[in-house]
Parts: sequence; C-alpha cells; structure tokens
Amino acid sequence: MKIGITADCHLKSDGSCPERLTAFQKILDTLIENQVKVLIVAGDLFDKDADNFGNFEKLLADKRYADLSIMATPGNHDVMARNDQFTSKNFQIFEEPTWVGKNILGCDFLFLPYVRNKNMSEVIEENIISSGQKGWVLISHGNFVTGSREINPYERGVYMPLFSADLARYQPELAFLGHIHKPGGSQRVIIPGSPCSMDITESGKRSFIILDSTTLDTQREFIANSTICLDEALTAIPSDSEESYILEEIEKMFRKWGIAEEEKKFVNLRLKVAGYAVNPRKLADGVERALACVKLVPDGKINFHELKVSQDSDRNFVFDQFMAAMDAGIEQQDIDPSLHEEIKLAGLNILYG
Amino acid sequence: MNLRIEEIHARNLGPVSAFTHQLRLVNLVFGQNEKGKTCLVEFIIQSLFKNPKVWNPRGISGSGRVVVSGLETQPVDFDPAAPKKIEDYWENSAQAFPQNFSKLLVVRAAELELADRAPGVDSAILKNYLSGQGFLDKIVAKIPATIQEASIERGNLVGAQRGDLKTLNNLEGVWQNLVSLKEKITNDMSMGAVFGYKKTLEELDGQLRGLEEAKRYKARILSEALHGFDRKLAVFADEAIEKIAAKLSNHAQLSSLIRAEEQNLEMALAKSEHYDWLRHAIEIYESRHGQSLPRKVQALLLGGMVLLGLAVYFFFNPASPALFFSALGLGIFLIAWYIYSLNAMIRRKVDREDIQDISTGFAEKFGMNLFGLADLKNTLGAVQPYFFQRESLEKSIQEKKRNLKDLEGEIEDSLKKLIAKPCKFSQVEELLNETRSVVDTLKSDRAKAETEFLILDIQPAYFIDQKPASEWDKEKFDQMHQEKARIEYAMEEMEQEFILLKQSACDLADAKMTDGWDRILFSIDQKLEEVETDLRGLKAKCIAQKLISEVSVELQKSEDEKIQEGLKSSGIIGNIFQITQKYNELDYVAGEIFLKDEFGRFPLSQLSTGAIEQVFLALRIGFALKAAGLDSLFLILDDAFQFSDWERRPRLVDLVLDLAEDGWQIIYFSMDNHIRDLFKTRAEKRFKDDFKYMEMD
Repeated sequence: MKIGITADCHLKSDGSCPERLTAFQKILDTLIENQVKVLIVAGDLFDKDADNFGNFEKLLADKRYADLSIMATPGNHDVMARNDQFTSKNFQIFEEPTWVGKNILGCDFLFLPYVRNKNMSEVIEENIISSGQKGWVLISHGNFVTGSREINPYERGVYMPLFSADLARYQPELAFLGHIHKPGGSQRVIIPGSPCSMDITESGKRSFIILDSTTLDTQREFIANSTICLDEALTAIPSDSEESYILEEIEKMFRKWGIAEEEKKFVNLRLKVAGYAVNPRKLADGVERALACVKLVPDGKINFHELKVSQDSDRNFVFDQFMAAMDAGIEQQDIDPSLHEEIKLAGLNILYG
Repeated sequence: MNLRIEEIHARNLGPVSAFTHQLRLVNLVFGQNEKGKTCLVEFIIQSLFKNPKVWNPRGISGSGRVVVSGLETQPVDFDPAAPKKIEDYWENSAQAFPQNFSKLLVVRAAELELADRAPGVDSAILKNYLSGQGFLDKIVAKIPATIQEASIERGNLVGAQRGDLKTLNNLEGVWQNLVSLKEKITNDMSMGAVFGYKKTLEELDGQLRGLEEAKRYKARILSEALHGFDRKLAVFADEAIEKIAAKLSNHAQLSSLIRAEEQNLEMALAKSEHYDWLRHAIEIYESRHGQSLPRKVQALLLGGMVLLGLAVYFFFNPASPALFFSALGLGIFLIAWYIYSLNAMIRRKVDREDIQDISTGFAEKFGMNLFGLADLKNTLGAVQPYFFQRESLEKSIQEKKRNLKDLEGEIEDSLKKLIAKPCKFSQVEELLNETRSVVDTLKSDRAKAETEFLILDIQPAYFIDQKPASEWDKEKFDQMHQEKARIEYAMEEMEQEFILLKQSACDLADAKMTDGWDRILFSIDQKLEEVETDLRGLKAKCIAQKLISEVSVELQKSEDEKIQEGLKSSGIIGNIFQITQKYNELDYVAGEIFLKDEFGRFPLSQLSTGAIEQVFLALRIGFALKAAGLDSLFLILDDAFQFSDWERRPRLVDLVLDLAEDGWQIIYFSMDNHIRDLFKTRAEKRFKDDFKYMEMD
C-alpha cells in the first residue's frame, strides 16, 4: 500500500500565502495520478492562529479527492486543531496519540501529536503497546537530535525532541517527523520537509514522500511549485576571466539545487555577490544578464554592495596562485572542501582588504 | 587618481611669519639662507607623513595646514598635530600605496638615497617597486610565524599551540565537546526509559499495595483464627483431659490390681483345691495310728545327732580318742535305736488299706509319694495359706470392682462434659484420644497461625475487614519488592546519568539545570552554531594565511630574478641613463646594486656622491612611475640638485619637468640662484599658468 507523507504545509486561514494551498493541492494531484489513497501530514498542516479552514475544506470537497483519505497529526503550530472543526469526511486529525493498524494503512502507524515541553519518548512510552513491538511507523512533529545541528530557520528552538536512544528503545521501522522544513533525514528518520517555501531562506525544490507501507521503501516526489526559492551568496575573484568565473559559479548554484534550465523561470533568487573584480560594472552586467530568467528578490536586484574593485594585477596573480594552492589542498584531502568559500573569502580579505 | 597639494597655509614657522599659497602643477619656492625654507619643508612633511622622525625633523613651533586633493572627493586638510596622515588613506585603499612610498615623494639635498642604511636601496624597496611582490611581503609579515610554520594536514592546521592556532585548537575542542555531548545525549538518553520505569513502578506499587492490603486482611483473619483456636483450646483444657487421663490411669491400675488379685485367687483356689481332702486324710491317717510318735523315740534321734556332732568335733580337735570313739559309738547306737523303734511302731499301728488309699490319693493329687503323716501335714501346711487367702482375695476383688465401676462412671461423666456428648466407658479411651488428637491439631494449627501472624507483623490497628482482590503471597510480595528495588536502582542510575549529562550540557551551553531538555538542546545548538561560525571563520582565515605564506615562499624563489628584471626595465634604465648620461645597465646581486657602462661594472656604493645622488633620483622617479602606474602624485624637492654638477643641473630640471608633463605635481624648494633661474626659465616656458613662483621674504 502506498501512502503520501508530508508536513509543515502551514496553510493560512486568512487567504494569504495561497501558494501553500496550491502546493498542497499539487501533492493531492500527484497522489491521485499515482493512485495513492492516503496522505499523512506530520504536523503543522495549518499555520498558527488558523481558525477558518474554508479554503482547505473546499479543496477537499473536490470530487477528484473524494477517495483520498487525509490523516494529520497536530504540530506545534496547529496543536489546537480538532476534528470537530472540520466537516470533510475524508480528513481526520489525531488529537490524541493514536494507533492506526495494518488493516487500514498496511502496517501499524503511531500518530503522535505534538506535546509542548515533552520529549517524544515520554509520549511514546505512554502509548507503546508492548516492549519490543516491531514493524511500526512513527508519525510525529519535532526535532530529531543528532550530533550535528539542523535548525529550522522559520522557527528556532528544539521541539519535542526524539533521540537515537529512543529509536533503539522503541524500534520503529521508520519515523517521519515534521517541524524541520529542510527535507532530509537518515535511514530511519525521514524529514519530509515543507511542500512550499515559507520564505526565501527555505531554498531549493520542495518535495514529499511516497511510502510503500508493505516494503517500507520510500521515494521523494518533487512538487512542481510555481516558486523555487534560493538564497545564495557568490564570491567574485578579480581576474581577466572574472565574468566567466562568476557565471560558472551561478551554473554550479543551479546544479547544486537540481534546477533544470526550464525550471529557472520559477526561481526566486536572493543573491549577494561579494569579493573583488577588475571591472565590477562589467561583472555585474554579466551576472544580471545571466540571471535575467529568474526573479530577483527582494527588489529585483542583486546585492553587489560588497563587490569591490581591484585592478592590481600583482595581487590578482597572487590570488590565482592562492586559489590553485587551495584547490590542490582540497584535492589532496588536506583541506575540508566545505570551507572552500570561506577560505576564498578570507584569502580575498587578506590580499585585498 | 591625482594626488596634489592644493594649498599651504603656515605661520610662525621660525623666521616664516606667514606663508599662504595655492599651488599649481609646477611650483618653485625660493628663499635665501635663513629665510625659513627648511622649516617650511619640515612643516609639510610632518603635516602629511607618518613617522616624521625618519626625516630627522627639527621641532615645529608654528601652525598651519596643508590641503591635499585626490584622497577623497573633497580636499583633505593635514597639519602636524592631526593623527591621520596620507599613509592612512593608502593603507585602507584597495589600490594601496606602499607605506614607505612617502619617502619617494620628498627629496632633500644629499638625501637622495631611499633607505637609511648604505648603499641606500634595500631589498624591501626593490621588491616593492620592481618585483611587484613587495606587497606580499608586507602581507606575509602580518601573518603570525606560528601560522607560517604550521602545516595543513587532513583538514587541520598542525603547528605550535600559540596565538590563532591555540584559539583554533580550543575552539575545535569546544566544538568536539559539544558534538560529542549531543551524540551522547541522543545515543544514551531516552527519557521514555525513565517514564517506562516510573510506569512499571506505579504498577508495582499498585500491586504491592494490593498485597499489603491482602496482608493486613490476612493478619485480621489469622488473628481471628487464633482467637478461635484459643476458644476451642479453652474448652479442651489440658487439665480436664489430664484429669480424665489420670482417672483412666487409675482405672487401668485398678483393673490391673483386680486382674492380679483374680489371678492370685485363681492360684489360691488351685493351690488349695485339695485342702479339704488333706484335712480329711490327716484325720483318717491320725485315727489309724491313734497317737503320734512318742517323745522317747524323738529323744533317741536328738541324742544320737548330738553325739555324732561331738564325734565330729573330737575328730578335728583331738583331745582323747576315747571321747571320740565314745561319742561316735553312742551316737550310732542311739540313731540305730531310733530307727528300730520307729519301724516297729509303724508296722504295728497303721491300717494298711486306708493308708494305701490316702497314699494313692496323695500321689494323684500332689504327684509325690506319701511317706507319712508328716507329708500330709507338711502338704497341708503348704496349702493352708492359700486356703485362707481365698476369702480375703474374694472380698478385695469385690471391693475393687465396685470402685472400678464408680471410676468408670466418673470418667464417663467427665468426658461427656468435655466433648459435650454422651459416651460409654468403652469409648472413653478412643474418644479421649480423638479429643487429644483434636487438641494437638488445634495447638499445631494455632502455632502455625501464630507464627504466620507474627511474621506478618501487623498491628491490630492496621487490620482491614474488606477482602481485597489479591491473596497475600509473601513470595510474590518479596519478588515484587526485589523487582521494585531493581527498577528503582536502574532508574536512579539512569537519572543520575541524565543529571550528569544535563550538568555537562549546561556547563558547555551556558544553560540552567532548571531548563527543560528542549531548551538545553537549543542552547547547545546555539552554542554549536556560534562555535562553528567562529571555528570555520578562524580556520578559513588561518588556512588562507598559510596558503598565502606558501604562495609567498614559492614566489620568493623567483623574486630576485624579477627584481633584476625590474632594474633592467626600460623605465628605470632610461631614467638612469638620462640622468647620468653614462650608465646603461643595472644589476642586483646579493642585495647590492651594480651599474654598468661601456667600460665596466661598478658597485653603487663605490660611485661618487654626485653619481649616487643621480642614480637614486633616477631610481626614485623610476620607482614612483612604476608604483603609481597611471596615477600621478606630487614630488617635493628640497634643493635636491644642490650638489649636482652644473652641467647636469639642466638635465635634472628637465627630468622633473618631464615628470610634470606626465601629471606629477612638482614642488621645488631652493636657495640656489642658479637652480632658481634654471628652473624658472624652463618651467615658465613649458607650463606657463601651471607654473607658480613663490619667494620667501
């Protein structure tokens, strides 16, 4: 049985941010196309203070979605959502921790609503049927705590954390967690991410998960949103080929986010170009020409405020040597490639600053 | 960029009371000796440049300002007291001028060399102006030696733990600690486990409470049972049972006595069965003999026995054989006489037939032969006590049997009282044993119940009446207590570990122990973000510094070659030749400049003062041209040509005026009439309104 899983739709009740409802509708359409009958929302289906669900219910009333069952667990934003606020028969929100059995979803699912000031394990502990229970899937809303950090820029803080030790203790086969808007996760904990960027900082194409509840295989389906947000910063290097260099950096940026040529028109880009250029004006013109197909935000402009001029060929030569030395260091695995941009900027500041 | 001195305003500079002029492209300031020319030059130097001591200035007593254009959009005022100098603008400019470039802009008489030490041009200056890498040395000079000496290995900078490397190491330590802590938290901490323990403990507590109630209930039940036992045991009092038992014992003894007496009676009857026959036989026997044995016969027997005794005595104690034989003979005689007399009497007086019957009867009844009346009498004597015992025995037996009957009645009555039911004496023993058995069982049961009750150790105040759902089960209760203790211990261990983790987290992330884990984790993330930002920034900076220092080392290898190339560049060589009209080639070996002409190669230090002056002026202008690139600056010459040969002076003046043609502002101070005239004539002709002549009063 195939099941769609998403989270953090943050639908508004006041009609604002219609793109969020559109993104949600695109998920429903994709599910219908793929003959998937169930969509699970791992929290924050609605934004905070949402109290009028007319648009949402109107959407669900569409005959196309009549056979689609939508199950949601409340997140920290819609923690007060109640079933009696909705009339749609194909929508159900689990106000309390609820087990949904394999006869309905193909395997056992524990829907765990967000609970303030609690660790996820506390709520699981209260609802676990038996120790050593296997083959079940957790749907909840909170942070998965790992050694690294993944902060939700839309909302800082740690919410109902789930620990690795909890996974070892309760043995869910998979855990789908809402709250972090950036898609990601690990082998057992999957972050569907928000289906629509809340703001420009939520970069990249958005997606949702299709789960085969029999095999527990997952696949990510991209959502054809009309807006793909990117928030990027590039560093110019002064040289005779500075323009081609920065244009290649722009292409790398698109490749990094998997944005095809035909998708560039959907991109909302906030871009800062810093560094040094022999001819900043010419460089800026080149960048603007290259990005003519994307929408530049916030005001249709690229931020060139930190782009400085350098016509010192000696320094430029030394910087070329510096970049070559850095690339060699990365190649020899002596330099962490993730520091590339920071080292480049530091080198520029040392040589030109 | 055109850097120009637009105006000079000065007053009270030693002999100079006031000097206010707007300058043009070419300027000649003439003043006779002691008119204050040197004071004015030093005023300008101290107003514009840093480190004026390198110019060995005299003290400035006056005041004023020098207005310079080309640094900002509006002209900038400089004065000796202001801290900001022209170099400050150069340091911050992307198109930076070298700091010691300022020495190029002021040329004083006999001070044409560019460095303080012989031969006057040091390698740093040559690098700055000829190799194009001099700026790199300045940058590298700012890179700490620790970084320069470090190496980059597997993403880390390895080197002495000082300065930024130490800071970097500390930051990495903090970062690693934070990451490790987070990993430990996520891998080791499951709050659910604690809640699971709590849940189990709550369940156990509930069950234990149930068992505790069952215990209290059981204590009550046992207490009641003990009372029941006591009541029953009070009925079956040991004393009563023992009394009955004692009576039974008496009864048994009495019965035994009766049985013994009956046996005695039976024996007496048996023994005295022929008593009457014997008496009758004796009577018959005595009637047949009429009399008893005469006393004389008896005396014969007695005398004979005495004499025989004496004979024995005399035999063993010889006194006289006559006495012995007399006593022996007489004794035998008397005995023989006795036997004879006795036989004669029997043969004579007993009726043979009756005697025979008696003898036969005697033998039959007693199993022995009758030899005479004596036997009969003896036998009668033996039987007679039995005969007389029979009556007393029969009386005694009768008496005892009556007593026995009475005792049986008492026993029956006592037992009836005890067991509350009628019983026959024949059942008494059995019933008494049963009663005893019952009592023993009661006692045993009571003892068990009492032991159990004491083990429960429940005071009556804690008894409960209502029967709880659970049955008291001590084994189960103990097991559950053990389980509870085990869980409490495990939970305590876990909570202790969590507290330690929390303490570590709070220490590292500046959080409070009272904060929840969500808050603490957020604090850790914030701290991690902060440390990561600092760490990445510092690491990037250190790596960049290291890479730049490495690049510098690589470039250093070809620097001498480049300096030589610079010295041989057309700009430098052209100026040298134009000024000296002799030297057409420069060389740079081991930090020293060599000049060549058509006759040979000469170290700069060995040339004449005038020649050195010319060479340095040529180098200065050449360096300035190279360093300035397309820009033009000002050049202050303080009687720079004063010691030059008169033949060379026109060429020198033309040289600086050529520089002005290229946009350089020339400000020449002179006290020499020849140079004044030479400069004025040529400048007026070439620059007209762009030339200004000023004379100091």
